[in-house]
Amino acid sequence: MRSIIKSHFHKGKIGFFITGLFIILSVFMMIIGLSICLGMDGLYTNARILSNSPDCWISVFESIDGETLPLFKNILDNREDVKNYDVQPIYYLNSQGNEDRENQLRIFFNPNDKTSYTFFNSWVAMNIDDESNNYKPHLRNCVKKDGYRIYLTGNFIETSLVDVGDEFTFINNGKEYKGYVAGIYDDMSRIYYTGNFYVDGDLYQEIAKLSLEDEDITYEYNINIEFNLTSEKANTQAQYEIRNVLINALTQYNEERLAKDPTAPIIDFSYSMREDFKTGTRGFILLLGTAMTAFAIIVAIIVAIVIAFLVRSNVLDEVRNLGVWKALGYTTLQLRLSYLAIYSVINGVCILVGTCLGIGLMPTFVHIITNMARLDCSKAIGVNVGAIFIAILLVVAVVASVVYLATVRVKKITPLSAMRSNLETHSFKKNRAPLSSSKISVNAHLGVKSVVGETHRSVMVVVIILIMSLLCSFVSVVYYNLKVDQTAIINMSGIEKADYYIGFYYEDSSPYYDAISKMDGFEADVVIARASGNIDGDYAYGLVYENFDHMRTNFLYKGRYPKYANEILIEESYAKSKGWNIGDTIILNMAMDAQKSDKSLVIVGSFQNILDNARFMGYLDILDELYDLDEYWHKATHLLYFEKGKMPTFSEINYVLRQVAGGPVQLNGFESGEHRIQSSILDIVGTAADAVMSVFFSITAIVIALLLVMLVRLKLLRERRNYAIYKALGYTTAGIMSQIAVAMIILGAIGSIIGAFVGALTTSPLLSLFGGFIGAWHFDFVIPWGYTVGIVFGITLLIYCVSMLCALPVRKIAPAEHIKSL
Amino acid sequence: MQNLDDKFVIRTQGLCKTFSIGGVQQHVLNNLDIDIAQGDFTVIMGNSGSGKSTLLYALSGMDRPTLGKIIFDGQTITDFSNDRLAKFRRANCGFIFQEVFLNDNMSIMDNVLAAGYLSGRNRKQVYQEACERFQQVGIDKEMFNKFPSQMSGGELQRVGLVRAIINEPKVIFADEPTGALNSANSIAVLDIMNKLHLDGKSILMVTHDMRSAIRGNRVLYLKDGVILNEIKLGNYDAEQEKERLDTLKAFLDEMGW
Ligand SMILES: Nc1ncnc2c1ncn2[C@@H]1O[C@H](COP(=O)(O)OP(=O)(O)O)[C@@H](O)[C@H]1O
Ligand SMILES: [Mg+2]
Repeated sequence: MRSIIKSHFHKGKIGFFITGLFIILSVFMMIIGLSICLGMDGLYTNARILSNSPDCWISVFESIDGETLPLFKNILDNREDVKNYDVQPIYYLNSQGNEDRENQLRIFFNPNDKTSYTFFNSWVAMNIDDESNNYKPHLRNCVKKDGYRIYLTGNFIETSLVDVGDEFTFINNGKEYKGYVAGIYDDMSRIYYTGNFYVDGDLYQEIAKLSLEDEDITYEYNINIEFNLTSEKANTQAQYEIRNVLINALTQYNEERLAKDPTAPIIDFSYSMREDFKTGTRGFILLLGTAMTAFAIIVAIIVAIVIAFLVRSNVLDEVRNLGVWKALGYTTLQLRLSYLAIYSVINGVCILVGTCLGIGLMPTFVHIITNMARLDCSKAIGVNVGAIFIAILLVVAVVASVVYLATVRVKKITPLSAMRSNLETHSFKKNRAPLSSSKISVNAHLGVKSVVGETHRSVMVVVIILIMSLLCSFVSVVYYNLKVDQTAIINMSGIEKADYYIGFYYEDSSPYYDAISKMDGFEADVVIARASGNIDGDYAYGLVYENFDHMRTNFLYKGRYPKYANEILIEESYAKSKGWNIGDTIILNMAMDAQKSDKSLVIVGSFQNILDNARFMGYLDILDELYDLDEYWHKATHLLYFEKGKMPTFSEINYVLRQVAGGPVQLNGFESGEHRIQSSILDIVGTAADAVMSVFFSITAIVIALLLVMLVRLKLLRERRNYAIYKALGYTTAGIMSQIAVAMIILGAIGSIIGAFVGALTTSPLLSLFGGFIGAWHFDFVIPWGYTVGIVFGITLLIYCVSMLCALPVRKIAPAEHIKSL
Repeated sequence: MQNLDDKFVIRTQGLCKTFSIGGVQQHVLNNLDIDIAQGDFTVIMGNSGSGKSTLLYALSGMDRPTLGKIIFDGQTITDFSNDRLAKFRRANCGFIFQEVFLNDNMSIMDNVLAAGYLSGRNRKQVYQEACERFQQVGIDKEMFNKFPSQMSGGELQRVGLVRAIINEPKVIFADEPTGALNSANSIAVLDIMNKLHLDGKSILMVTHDMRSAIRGNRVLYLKDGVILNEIKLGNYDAEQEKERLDTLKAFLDEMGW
């Protein structure tokens, strides 16, 4: 038995080597992919513990000495699911809208650097040196310099031009406080709050002093809340629930106060929860994990195909030897087990290597996750033992069953086969593609003959190349639509692609809009606003438009845009989860603003939004009764539309506005629609797309190259004698090499043409099938045919190069050595 | 010189072939000079291991001598590159081996055409010729699409013969062509070779079988890396088989066979 196994090994080294590499690749990717997928929930729980984040927090727009604190404390004390809560005093610094305070109450980052200059005129200062804060965040990337320290979120660092170590200057009434960005603070529930800064105790005390005289610096408080629910699901539910409880309590409180004193100011709060981080990151972490797992499974399928091919052809080649073994008394089972044994040894070694590679490279992938999530996840997720177990089990099962099934032919071999091996194996052959009908060069024709003659090999190569080119095509379509032509993504984004988004701080901004409307090519300006309220008892945030007459982004999934103020669009996933259909009526309540404003609205359609989290879209008139819309109009954000090709530049618009203002313009935001979309998650997706695309393409190239190395070398081994005869007959080295290359190119071209074109055509339908879970229901991706053709061309070229390179040893085949009869 | 080249299709000067196995050098061909005349059926005899095959493969341009010069049809082929040699073989050399060495993955017709189409001649004509040659050696049309594994040894050797002559080579090289055949098949193959010789073909055959050797008109005896001696038998005539055998036997006895 041992000698049989040894003989298998010596005959199939190249095949084993390449199969082994594929097994390693598969195991390693599966361990990483599955570890990520299985570790998702743990990731969020661990990251919470490591970052010391609260589950949620509220920021109340009232002094810590006010009346609301006891109210909230009372509620939180009486809830059994609240494990702990913490009141954190903060200062809110806000010069926004106060034209007199321009340049007087601001924080500048990189004040002296034109390219990375960034400022805030509305921000929150929290005290990092407050030891009584139970939710003091985890700090990282810390640096030491002179001056006051400030800590920013990872998300802010990633999305701005500000970096750790950069300078900042805080100005108040001409007095400057200088310092530097001392590090990143990780707080899951504050990560997307760009203007929430932790400052050191000294600066905090300075701000405290200033607040005594400066009414734009207000002393307020946050309440950090932590639940005792260890189940992530229950915890998430509590995060949603407590918001409604607190909103209702505050609404009731405000109503009672207003009843006593109609002039009393309404007390409001903002709320944020850990779940926001989860929804913001879950999609792409899961994408990374599933992509890796999917790729691992595809490579495992390739392993199966390759092993099936190798074992089958080995059995055919070895009929004579197997017959001899049988004559010597070995049973079919023993011979089949001998194949199983050799593959198990190889499988075992490769699984070990793959597992080590998986464990060794996991930190790299965790690093990628940290970069994408923008929160330190380095210790929150690691290699999952279950993932290792599944990966090993799967690969072992695949290899064992394929080897066993591929050796069925051993059953038919009898000791007699040893004597007439040729008859057994070749009698069924047909002479396909006879040379007598050939019109092409002899070498090309012999290449074609080997394609049609070795059907098993041909099918295997076509299938593998088809799979790989299908994947490449799929990835390239996605890439093209994410990076090159984003129309399809924008249509799904939920963000309107107006030429500009602009807003002013003026009580009367009409002169500015008048001036803009006189610009060449001006089409329209449309007010857009964010609105939040309750639909059917759920908190919901939405976008309201002055009208839908100029929309350039087609968000619609079903139905039509609203035509009247009582019509509304609902986000498709949300509508599905609620079971709402076109024609249904829903009640929208804007209770956040402490006024009863129930509105009954008819659903006229649904939209998809993958970048924005709005759940409804409607007419601006929905806000009527809550705001004086005429007055609101002046300060709201407006969408500007210009005729195609006539969109003015920033400076052209700025010039017009400065003419009106006679100096600097008090802008409340001014950006192009393009930029607004780009600066959304698209930049994460974009960088991920580059990485995914290059990883995919290189793995494809590696897989195809390895496959060809194996096939060509096997071919050389098996056909050595025939090539020697060819040479004797007068074939040149180049001629024989081209026979090999032609065969591979034909197979590669068939596989890649089918794969690439099918991939290109099925990308959108496939994505639409599975995209629902991220709110993307209808993909209408542009197919970049150039890429498709490029893939076919690239794969074919790769095949040509690799097969020619591997066929080089043909040079060394000397006819005399192989055919001399001694 | 011109005259000699016309008369001799192959000439060698100081041909040496040395193999070294594990550092031990074995001089198989030792400063050997040989002239093969145009139109001759030349036979090289010698003991097993005397270097007959080595000589044949060197002369046919399949292998390279360690030293020396081979002038084939007036061209010094020992100076050729491998590719040039390959192209040279296409047009000038036909081969028959003891083991036929057909490609098992192709029909016998394709095996012949794979050689025939290389010449670049009109393909229809080549195909036609192949059919005729097959007919001549007694292989019927129905068998053209058979695979080598479906045929007997005698039939295969005849296919080998067709492949060897399909390109009308200057010289047909045969290395123990009957070594693996029974006597009936051997006679059939040798008869064909004699017919080719009568048609004017030059044949160089290596054998250690006397019954094969008497088919030639000139027999050379190879020993210790040189041609020890030779005998001219005149063209083969089936009726003088016995006399030829006796003459050859006497010659071989003299050589110490
Ligand atoms: N490629 C080779 N490497 C080493 N030795 C060789 C090689 N080919 C032939 N020989 C040796 O050269 C001698 C002559 O071989 P060969 O020409 O085949 O003899 P024969 O007369 O039987 O055809 C033998 O002793 C053989 O062992
Ligand atoms: Mg020999």
